[in-house]
Amino acid sequence: MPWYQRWRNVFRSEKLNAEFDQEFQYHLAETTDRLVAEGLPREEALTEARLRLGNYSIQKESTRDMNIAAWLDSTRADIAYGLRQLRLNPGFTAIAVLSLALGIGANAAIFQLVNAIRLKTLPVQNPQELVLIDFEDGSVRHGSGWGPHGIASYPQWDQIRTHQQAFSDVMAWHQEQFNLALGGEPHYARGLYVSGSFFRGLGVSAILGRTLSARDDNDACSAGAVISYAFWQRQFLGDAGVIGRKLTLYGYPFPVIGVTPPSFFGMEVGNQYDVAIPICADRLLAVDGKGRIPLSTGFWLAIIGRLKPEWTVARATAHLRTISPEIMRATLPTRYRPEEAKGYLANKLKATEAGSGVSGLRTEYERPLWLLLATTGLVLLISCANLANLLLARAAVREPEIAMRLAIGASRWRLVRQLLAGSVLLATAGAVLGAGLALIISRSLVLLMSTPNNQVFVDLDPDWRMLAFTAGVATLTCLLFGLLPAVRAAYLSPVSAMRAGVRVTSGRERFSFRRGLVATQIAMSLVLLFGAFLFVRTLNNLVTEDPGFKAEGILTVYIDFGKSPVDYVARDASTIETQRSYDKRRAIYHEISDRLSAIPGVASVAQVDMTPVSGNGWDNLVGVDGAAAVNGKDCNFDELSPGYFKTMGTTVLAGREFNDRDTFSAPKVAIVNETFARTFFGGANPVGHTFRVSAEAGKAEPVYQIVGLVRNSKYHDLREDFQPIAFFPKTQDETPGPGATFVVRVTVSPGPVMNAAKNAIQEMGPAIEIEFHALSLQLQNSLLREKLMATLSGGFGFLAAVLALLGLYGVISYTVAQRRNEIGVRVALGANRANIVGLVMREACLLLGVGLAAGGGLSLWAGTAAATLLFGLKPHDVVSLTAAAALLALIALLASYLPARGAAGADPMSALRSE
Amino acid sequence: MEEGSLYPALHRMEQDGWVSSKWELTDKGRKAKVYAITAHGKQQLADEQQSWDRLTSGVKRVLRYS
Repeated sequence: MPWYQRWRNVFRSEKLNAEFDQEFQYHLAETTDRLVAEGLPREEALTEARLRLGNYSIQKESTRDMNIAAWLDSTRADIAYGLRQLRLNPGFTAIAVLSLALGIGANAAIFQLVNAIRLKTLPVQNPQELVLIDFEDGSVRHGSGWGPHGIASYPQWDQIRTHQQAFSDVMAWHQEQFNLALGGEPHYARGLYVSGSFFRGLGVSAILGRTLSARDDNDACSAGAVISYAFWQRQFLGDAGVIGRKLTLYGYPFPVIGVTPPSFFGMEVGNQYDVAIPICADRLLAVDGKGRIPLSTGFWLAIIGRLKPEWTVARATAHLRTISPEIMRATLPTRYRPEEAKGYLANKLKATEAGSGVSGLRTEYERPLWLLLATTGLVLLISCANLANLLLARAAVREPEIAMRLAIGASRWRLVRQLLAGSVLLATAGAVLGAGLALIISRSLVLLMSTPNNQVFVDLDPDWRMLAFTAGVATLTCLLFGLLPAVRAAYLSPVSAMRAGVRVTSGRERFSFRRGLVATQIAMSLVLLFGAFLFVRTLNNLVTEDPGFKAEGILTVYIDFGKSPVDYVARDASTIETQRSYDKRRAIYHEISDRLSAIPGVASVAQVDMTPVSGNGWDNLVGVDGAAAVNGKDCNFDELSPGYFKTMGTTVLAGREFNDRDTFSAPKVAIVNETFARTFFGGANPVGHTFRVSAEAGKAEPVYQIVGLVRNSKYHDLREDFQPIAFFPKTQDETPGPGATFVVRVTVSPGPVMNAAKNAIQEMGPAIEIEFHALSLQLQNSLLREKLMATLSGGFGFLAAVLALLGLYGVISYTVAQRRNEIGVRVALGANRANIVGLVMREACLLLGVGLAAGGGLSLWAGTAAATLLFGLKPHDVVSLTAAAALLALIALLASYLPARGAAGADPMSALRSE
Repeated sequence: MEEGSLYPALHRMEQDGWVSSKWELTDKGRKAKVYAITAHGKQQLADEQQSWDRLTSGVKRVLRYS
């Protein structure tokens, strides 16, 4: 019989037994017949037949052993036994399974995110062959940058494409929002500009229609748009006849030519693309009709290549280095000054692995997620310690039984297996439930990372890594909480356990192990609480950090009239911008400002180029009082209209705000902040001084006179130290564009103001786009990561503390129960309440002290891992550590005071009587 | 030797595929499990016999020279 029958027989042992009985009965019957035939009486013959057969049960057992996979059979028995045990203790089972499910679920959820953001490869053909082409660190590329991953200009891309030999395909793309709406409030799609080679190079084919190809990306640029599966479902409701339908991007119509498969989300992990159009279409959507393709100082394309067979990343890098000088020579921007040109020509390209795509989400969240994984790991360890403690207590109750079984010859290994079977069942149930929980938790976490303007998309479908991780965690958990109690129970000496008789006790040594577990739990919870305090304090520091302006009540209004006839009139028929069109735009700005000011509930209005903390920036070198700017220091800039500082609530410390006399023809003026004054003037009042700003080759450095000094305000984000900023008047902008941002201070609820503003602007002309944001909300959204860390680490820290306290409570209660007789004697001999409470509390304090000391050390070490995520405090922040320790100590003492008081209140007689 | 020891051995041989078995009704109307040697079993028997013969002849040779 082959092995599978032996396996099958494990589950049909009843039937098997019946077969053996039948076979044996036949044997007995035949022997009896033969003996009767030889002359024995039937009664005696039967007895004789039985004797000759041997011990019936033993023979049957050994026959059975031949027919059955013995190890499987005992496993089955162990599991059946374990199930029965769990059914007998539904309370314990529920608590154990639930705490394991929560622990494993939290771990699996965080791992799922780590997996999706860091580990998973792109859903394209052979992702391991993909490499990102980038510039080596320290390369010189002054100019404008667009998009989160834009590193190369179109001329550079063109050169790389023609000169490289390392890749079978090179693909370029740029990520940008496309407005689908025609005027009014914008409706954005997440867009991609892609090279003609993009889809073929990635090996992504359309499930409907076709993808873009090299034929679509040319000067004529007559091509259409490829859309993602999700966008197809959302925007076109999965219409099968979508091919040929029109999509309007910034007012320009594109026919849909294809739909990509559901698995393909683009190149950036965390961001799902909606619409892809060829790079040549940049010209079609550009206000000036030329776009970024001719620009040698516009860096907007990301480039990825597919390695040829036999090529490695290192070989590709070496190849890119050798072709770099040629590429740089061919693309050198003419406006660079000689020293810039020298730096540019020395630029080197390199290749890095890109199988898992690129991701801004990864940069921002990878470290926090690993930290959170460590946190949830610790929480799971703590709940494992609790379970181990519970199991130890249960094993202690069964000691006499186990001792008896050992004494009559049970093998220790067999006992360990039997005790472990229960733990395996618990861990399995916990893992299954936890995996289900993980799917929910990870999706909620992604929602926490998203804002209305920045929907995070990550592929959370479970894969083998996720399954392996969950299974691994479950196994480890099971070993941690199950193995030790099982081994300890099986290796007790039967004599000592049986001698103890009815009084179920365990030795001092055995119990000290449980106390060790509790001290460890306290140490680990201290680490988690400390972490929680660090992140909560960080968030608090950021929220209360004075940004230098009053964000509450500020509505930012972005208006784009580039697609409206209002601006077409401003431009000449040849669409070339002239001085006259600039004048017209300045007048439009003025009109918008006036219309917004007239709305009831608007206190003041001002125009600004970049609202603070928006993520945009503009900087250059500055030299003061006649010094050349080239050798100066870096400074940030912004452009704004009169009344900006009043609107934003930023104090003017010296001099004045801009006013209407700072016209285009007036001398150039600027207002600077305190850090500017400190950096360039050593803190002296800068009003009246001048500074120069670096200019391109062949042009004179412009000179500005400082007319005002304002308080410091944040520029890029809230976490930064104040930086030097110089503000220029918007009225002196030489080339005003068709887009303008206004900050509006409202004194009423923003809803009616927004409606009134929309109407007021629409009246000026059709196809004017208008977009609103609340500045305070924008600030809050910039703290999303901090909020996530504070919430999660706070939650886990709290959970850990509760679990550790439950453990402490259990152990103290157990001590009290064990020392009932001793306490009774003490009370009988005259010990008072305080003595008894002190006695028990001394034990608790010892555990607490050891735990806190160990945890304190661990915390200081762990704090350094979080250093980069903190704001306004040191990684070894004393306040956080003290607060965490004090909080833990307080609740721990409370948790042990309850059993202590119970012990002191017990009637000494009843305790002594039981002896 | 107890007669019952036959059965573990028989079942073992059945597991190894040396014998096959089927249930039959005997003349007396009893259900009996009848074992028969298989081709594989015959081969095994021959192999074992051969190795036994080699062993005994070896022992004989040793005894002769001692």
